[in-house]
Amino acid sequence: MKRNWREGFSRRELLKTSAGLGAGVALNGLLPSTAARAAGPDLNMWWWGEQELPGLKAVVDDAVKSYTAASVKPMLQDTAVVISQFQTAAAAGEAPDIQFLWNGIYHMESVWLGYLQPLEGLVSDQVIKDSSPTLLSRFGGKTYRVGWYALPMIWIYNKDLYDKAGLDADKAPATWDEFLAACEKLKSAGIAPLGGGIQDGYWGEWYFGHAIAQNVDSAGEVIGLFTGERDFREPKYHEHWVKLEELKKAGFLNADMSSTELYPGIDLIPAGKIAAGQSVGARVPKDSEMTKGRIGTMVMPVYGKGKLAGKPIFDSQGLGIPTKAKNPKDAAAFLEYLQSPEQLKLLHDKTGWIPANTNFDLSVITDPVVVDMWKRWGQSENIPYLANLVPGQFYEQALLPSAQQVVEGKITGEEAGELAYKVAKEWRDFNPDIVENYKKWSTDLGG
Amino acid sequence: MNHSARFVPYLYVAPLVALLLFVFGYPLVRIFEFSFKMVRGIDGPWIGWRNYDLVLSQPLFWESVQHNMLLLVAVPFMVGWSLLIAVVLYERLKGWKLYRVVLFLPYILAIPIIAVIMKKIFQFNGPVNEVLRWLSLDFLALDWIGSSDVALWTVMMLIIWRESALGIILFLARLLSLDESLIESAKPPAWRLISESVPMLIIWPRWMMARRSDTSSATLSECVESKIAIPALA
Repeated sequence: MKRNWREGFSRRELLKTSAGLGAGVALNGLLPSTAARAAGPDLNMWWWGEQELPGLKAVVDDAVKSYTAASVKPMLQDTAVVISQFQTAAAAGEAPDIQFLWNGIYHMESVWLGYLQPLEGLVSDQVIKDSSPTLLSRFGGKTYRVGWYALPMIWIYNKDLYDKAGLDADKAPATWDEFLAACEKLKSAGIAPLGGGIQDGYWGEWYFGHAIAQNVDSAGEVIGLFTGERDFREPKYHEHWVKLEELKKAGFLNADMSSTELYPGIDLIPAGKIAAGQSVGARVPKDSEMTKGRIGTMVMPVYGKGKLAGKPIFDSQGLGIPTKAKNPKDAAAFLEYLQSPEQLKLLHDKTGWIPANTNFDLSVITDPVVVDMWKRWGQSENIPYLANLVPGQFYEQALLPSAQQVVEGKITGEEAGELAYKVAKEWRDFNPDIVENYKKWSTDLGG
Repeated sequence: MNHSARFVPYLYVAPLVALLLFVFGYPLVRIFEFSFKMVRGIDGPWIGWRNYDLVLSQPLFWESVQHNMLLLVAVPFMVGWSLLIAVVLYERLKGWKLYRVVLFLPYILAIPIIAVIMKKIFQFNGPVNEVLRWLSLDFLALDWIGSSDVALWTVMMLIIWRESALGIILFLARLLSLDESLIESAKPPAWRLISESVPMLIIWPRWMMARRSDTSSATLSECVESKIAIPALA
């Protein structure tokens, strides 16, 4: 009998159909996907990054598809649960084989909890070194991450605005005095010399990452500010906030800085509304294209006397292998595969951005601004991003509010140093076990 | 109804209650338990009241409490404002239906959407300040969301703007469902005195003229209440 679909389903038929569909879906979920099917073992990979680098999902999907030594099951994590989801799974003995890891303290706590294993002996030493995991991935003489994609921390400036103010647009100010002189000229020309957006606070984190390096000789010295061996009240350790206060008082910061968020604030530079400010390397290709190559990159002008002053800051996102990974050797082999020349090229092709590997073939990049930046930040001597050393409590209660309040004119740079000292002490008193780990970490960081 | 039948309704709701307890109750209990631990990863050693000591000793915590208390000021203001606007709408001034839609609109907008739009609007160089500067009211062009002195009041203003919408509709719905005589009798005596005597004062000279010319026999009150035309002036 021919069925008239307009009559609709009876309740019994609806239930039967739903059950059938449900069973089908469940069965499909239980069976491995044919796309990811390979001869070797199953590997679970929990990753993050599509959120900040669109196209990364295509990179992962292609890599998984082309990899034949194991069947890799990728799972994109939500930003809010990258750390907690992993730590919960690791504590329950259900950790993935490969885990995405932010740098510094964001993965070091998992190292101290015993959730991550060192990569030496699993991943070749050369691959680890070439992938630029940075110094902040090391603890106890071992490395816990392989670098994945690059995060150069930079300052940018608008060359057209520098031209307009009668400055040499091809020569960015290198010293603080040169910078202040440039700011004066820009201000006289009616241009906001420096700034961005600090409403959400992250500008203050970046500023700390750039500026604390000015007066320290090593990353370990910064650790001392939290373990109590050094003190934020010493002028050289809060000079960066004093400099920020001076910039504010001189009228060199954009007037709407406190009501603008970080990324919309960066947009103001290529848009020609602010002359210079902090940015990240991944934005440079787009900003350069938008300004037809009239964006310049620079390091923070030097005022300090520390050994790290004036050096390019290089950070990277990375991947590691949990202690209870079921197939650590196979996971290591896949991490090495991701560092192969064709996979590095794939990452660039799909995302337009640069993998963290120093062997990446630069010839595929056509924009001279991007090439120049990569040579200086990625391939020259660089330093780690020191804001990644900051404990969470300090980050929330001192790092973000201090810069916000200095920019707003509520506190002085010296008072910001007092606040930082107070919060660091509270954190220290409350967390003696983590302080001990910080002290051990300090030896890896040249403290 | 036999004894066991009394429990049947509870059995019906039991699965949902169990689900709610699992989804909401269990995490709440665990969070409370965690508050007495030094959390390391997903667990940690028992430390008694130290987490509470730490939080309560923070000036930041007390500032947050103070800000929340200040935001509470918005509640009575919101109620009063909603009632006032509802009464104005109830009086059916011209275009009241349109005003009703405009006033209720913020309530149906999602909070994140309002947040994004208002952040743009209230930026230091945003549309609100641009308009104020254009009107030469530069002194009013504040850093609405960037200054810690002003931001709380901006937030309060937005809360009142959005949340009053529901209050207005609720008050208006209730007013419309009432008998008009109830509302009339509920008006305060002073209001009634004013509302009755003002028309009398307006009509009185006309009424006097009509009486003198013998063209009307109606009393003054009848003229006011039933709006009887006064022939002398018609």
